[in-house]
Amino acid sequence: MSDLSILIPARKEMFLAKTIEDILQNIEGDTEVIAVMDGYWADPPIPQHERVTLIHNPESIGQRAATNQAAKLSKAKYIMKCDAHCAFEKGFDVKMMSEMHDDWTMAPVMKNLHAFDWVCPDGHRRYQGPSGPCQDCGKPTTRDILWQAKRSPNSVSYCFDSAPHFQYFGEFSKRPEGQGDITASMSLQGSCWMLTRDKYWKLGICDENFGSWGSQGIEVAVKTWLSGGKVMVNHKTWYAHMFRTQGGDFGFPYPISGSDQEKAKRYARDLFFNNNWPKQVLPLSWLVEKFWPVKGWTEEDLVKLKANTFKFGALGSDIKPAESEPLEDKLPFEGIIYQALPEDSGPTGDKSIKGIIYYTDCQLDPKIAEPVREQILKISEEKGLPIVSATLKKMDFGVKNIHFPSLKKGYPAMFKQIIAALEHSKSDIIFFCEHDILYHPSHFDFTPPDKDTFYYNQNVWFLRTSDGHALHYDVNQLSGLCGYREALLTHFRERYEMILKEGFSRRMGFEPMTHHRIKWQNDYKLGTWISEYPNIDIRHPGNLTGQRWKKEQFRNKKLLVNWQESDDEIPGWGKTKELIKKLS
Amino acid sequence: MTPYDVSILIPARNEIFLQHTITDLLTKAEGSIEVIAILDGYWPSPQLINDVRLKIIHRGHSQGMRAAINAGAAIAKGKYLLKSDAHCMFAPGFDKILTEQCDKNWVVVPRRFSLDPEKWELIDNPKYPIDYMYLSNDLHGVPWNEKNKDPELKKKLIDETMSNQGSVWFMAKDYFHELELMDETSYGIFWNEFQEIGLKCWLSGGRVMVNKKTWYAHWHKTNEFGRGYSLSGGEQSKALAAVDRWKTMGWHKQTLPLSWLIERFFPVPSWTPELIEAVSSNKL
Repeated sequence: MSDLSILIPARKEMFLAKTIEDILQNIEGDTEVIAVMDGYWADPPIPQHERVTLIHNPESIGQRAATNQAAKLSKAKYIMKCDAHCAFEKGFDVKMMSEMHDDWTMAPVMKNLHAFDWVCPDGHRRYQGPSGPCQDCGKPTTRDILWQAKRSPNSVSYCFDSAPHFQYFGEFSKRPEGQGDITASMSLQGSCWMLTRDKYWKLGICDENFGSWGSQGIEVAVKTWLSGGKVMVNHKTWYAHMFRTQGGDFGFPYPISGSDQEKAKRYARDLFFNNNWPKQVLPLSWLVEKFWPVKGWTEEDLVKLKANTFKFGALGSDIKPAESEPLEDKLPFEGIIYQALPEDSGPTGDKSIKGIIYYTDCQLDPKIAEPVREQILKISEEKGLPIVSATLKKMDFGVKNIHFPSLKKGYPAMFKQIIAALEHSKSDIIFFCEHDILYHPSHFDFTPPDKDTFYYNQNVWFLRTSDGHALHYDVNQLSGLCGYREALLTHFRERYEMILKEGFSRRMGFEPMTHHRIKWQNDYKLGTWISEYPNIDIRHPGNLTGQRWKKEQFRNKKLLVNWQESDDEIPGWGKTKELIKKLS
Repeated sequence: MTPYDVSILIPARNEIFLQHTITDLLTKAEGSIEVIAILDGYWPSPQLINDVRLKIIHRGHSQGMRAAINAGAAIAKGKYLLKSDAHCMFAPGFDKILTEQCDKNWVVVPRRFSLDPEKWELIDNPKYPIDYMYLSNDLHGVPWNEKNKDPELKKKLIDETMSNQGSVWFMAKDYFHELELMDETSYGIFWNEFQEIGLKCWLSGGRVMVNKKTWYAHWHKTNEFGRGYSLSGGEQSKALAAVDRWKTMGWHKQTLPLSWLIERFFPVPSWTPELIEAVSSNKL
C-alpha cells in the first residue's frame, strides 16, 4: 500500500506520458500514480509501470468526477492531485509528506513549465503555443520537447477576489507572515495540491456540483480553511506547470463554456459566501480578514460579508481565471526564446554575479547597431558577463535571446523586453545595455553596494553623428542603469502593470527612482557613480528621445551639472571625428 | 440517481476470451449498463475495442482478483453490480431479468451452463444446467445434482441456493458494500470468492438466490489454457483459514451460526446430524 497517490485527471493531454515519466523519475517515497484518461487514449501511450494505475473512460466525465474516480482507487494516506502537464523536483513527494499535517492542504512552489518549442527545418524556434508554420520563414514546424522548469516566477501565494475570481497574491509574500519555508495561502491555483485521503473524502474536496471544471483551487482552499484546517505552500520543493492560454490547439482541454464557469462560481458563492457549507466551522469573512488586505476586496465588501449582507456585483468576463499565468509570467510567454548556450553555461562556467541585458527594437541603422553590439560582446567575453537579449526580431546575440515578433516598437514594448530579459537572466547584478550606446569597459567595473538602490553611471557623452560634436553633463539614463536583478524585476513589473492600466506618460519617465512623481508600491533608492571612462550615447536621426545641444534649450538649468562640450576628443575614446567615421 | 442500472465488473488477468465476453455482454444487455474491465497487470493484445459503455482500469502490476473487483466496484456508477469471469456468455436481456427480481439483501446467480469458448456456444453436457450448489462439510461449493435434476424444482424459477460457484454474481451495489466485499486482508487475492459472498450474505440475514429465468455459460478452465492467476499455496491456505473461521465466527456482522444454514437446507449431502451438532457446539 502506497503512502501517496498522485491523481492525474487527463483529457486530450499529450503530455500525460511525459508527466507520469517525470513523476516516476523524481519520486523517492512509496508513491503511486493513478491517472484517468477521460474520454481519450493517451498518445503516446503510457508505458506499463508497477506504480501506475490507469483508468480509461470512453466519454469524458469531467475533471472533478475523474479525480474522484482516481481517488476511489487510492488506499494511500495522502492524495495529491496534479494536472497532466507538470514537472517535479527530485524527491518532491518525500519533501511534501515530511511537512504535512493531517488537517492541511499543501502545494509546492509553482514554477512555469517550458514544455516545448516549435522548430522549423531552418532552426527557427517559437515558444510553446498553438501549432502552425514558422513565423520567420513559413516552413512547417515540429515540436521540440524541452521539459524545463523556468527559474522564475516562483508562485507561493494566491487569493480570490470578491467575484470570486482567482488571483495571484504576490503582495502577501512580501509581508512578514509571508516569510519562511512553509507559508499560508488564502487560495490555490489548482494544478497541484495535496492532502490526506481522509480529508479528501470528509471535506468532499471535488464536489461534482461545481460542474466539471472551474474554481477548483478556491474549492479546495476554502473547504480546508473553513473546516478549521490550513492551506500551506511548501517552499522546500517545487513543481512546474505548463500554462495553456493561447487557444487553438494550445487551449484548455475541458470544454469550459462561460456558463459552466459561471455555474461553478455561482455554486461557490452560494456555498461559501452565504456560509451554506455544512462542514464549515468558520465564516468566509474570517478567511478574508485573516489575509487582509486582500486583492479585489474593498473594506465595504468585508463589512458586508461579516454582517451577512454581502451582495455580488456583476461577474466579470474572464472565463478561466486559474489558468491564467502568474502576472510576471505573461511577458516572456508571449516572447520566443532562443537559447544559444545551455542554461547553465555562463562564459566562465560558473554562475556569473554580473550580467548584461540588451534590448532593441531592431530598427536602428546597422552601421551604428553593429559596432555597438561588437563592443558589448567584446566586453562580455573579456569580463565574463553573460548577455541576455530581448529583441523585436530574432537575434543571435548573447547566451539567450527572447524575441517578440508581434510586438510594435514603442515604450510599452521596450519595458516588456526589459522584463523578459531580466527574467531570463541568471545574474544577480544587471547592467542595462542599449543599442546606440558605445559602452566603455570601465562602466562594468562598478559593483553596486546596495541591493535596494538603482545606480546610474553619470559619465556619459552625447555624440552627434552628423558632425562629431560631443556634449557631457551629469545625467541619469536608463542606458546607464545598474542594479540587482530582483529589485529591477520587481520595479519593472510594477511599472509595466501601471502602463497597462494607465498608459505610458512622460510623467512616469524612463529612469526609475530619479524623481518622485509616481508613488510606487515598491520604492527603491537612487544612486549614481562615475566610471573611469565615459560611455558614448550616439545621437542619430532615429533616437526615441530628442536631444538638446544647447543650455538654452533646457528649462531647468540646475540639472546641467558639469556641462562640457567638445568637437575634438572624448576621454578614453580619442577623436570624435574618427569615432563618427566608424559609425557611418 | 444512478446513471446506470447495472455495472458489470470483469476482473481479468491474461484472459484470452476477455473481448468475447465483453462483446457478448454489450450485445446481450438490454438495459442501461456499463462494463468495467479491470486489466490486472497486463494489456490484452489486440487492444480491447472501444465502446461508449466500456471503462477500463489498468494496473501496472497484478494486485489480485479481489482487489480488481474492489477497484471496479469503487468506480461503478450502477445501482446493481454484476461480476463476471472473463470467459462467460450470457442470455439476451440477462440484465433486465436480473434487476427485475433482486431484493436489497439478495445475492442472485443466473442458471449456469458450460461454454465452449472457441465456438462460443453451449456445450451439451448432461451435468448442466446447474441451478443449485451446496457447501460440503469442509465448506466447499459442490453442484447439488439431486436438486438440479428435480423436475418439480425446475418449475420454481426463483429459489434459494445454499452456495454457488462464483463465476457470476449479481447484487445491489449498496449490499456489496454492506457485506464488506471483497476482503483482501482475510481471504487474500483469489480463493474462495463465493464462500466469502455466500456465507456473509446468508449468515447476516440475506439470501442467495438462483434466477432460472436467465442464464450464462461459463468456460471451465483447464490447464490447457492455464489460469490467469498463478496461485501460491500460501494464498490458498489463507483463504481456507478464513473460510474455516465460519465454523465459529466468520465475520463481525454475522448474526446466524453456520448450523442454521445447514439446517435450512437439510438434508445437505455430506452433513450428518452429528456434524451439525458438532458445528453448533463449536467442536468441528
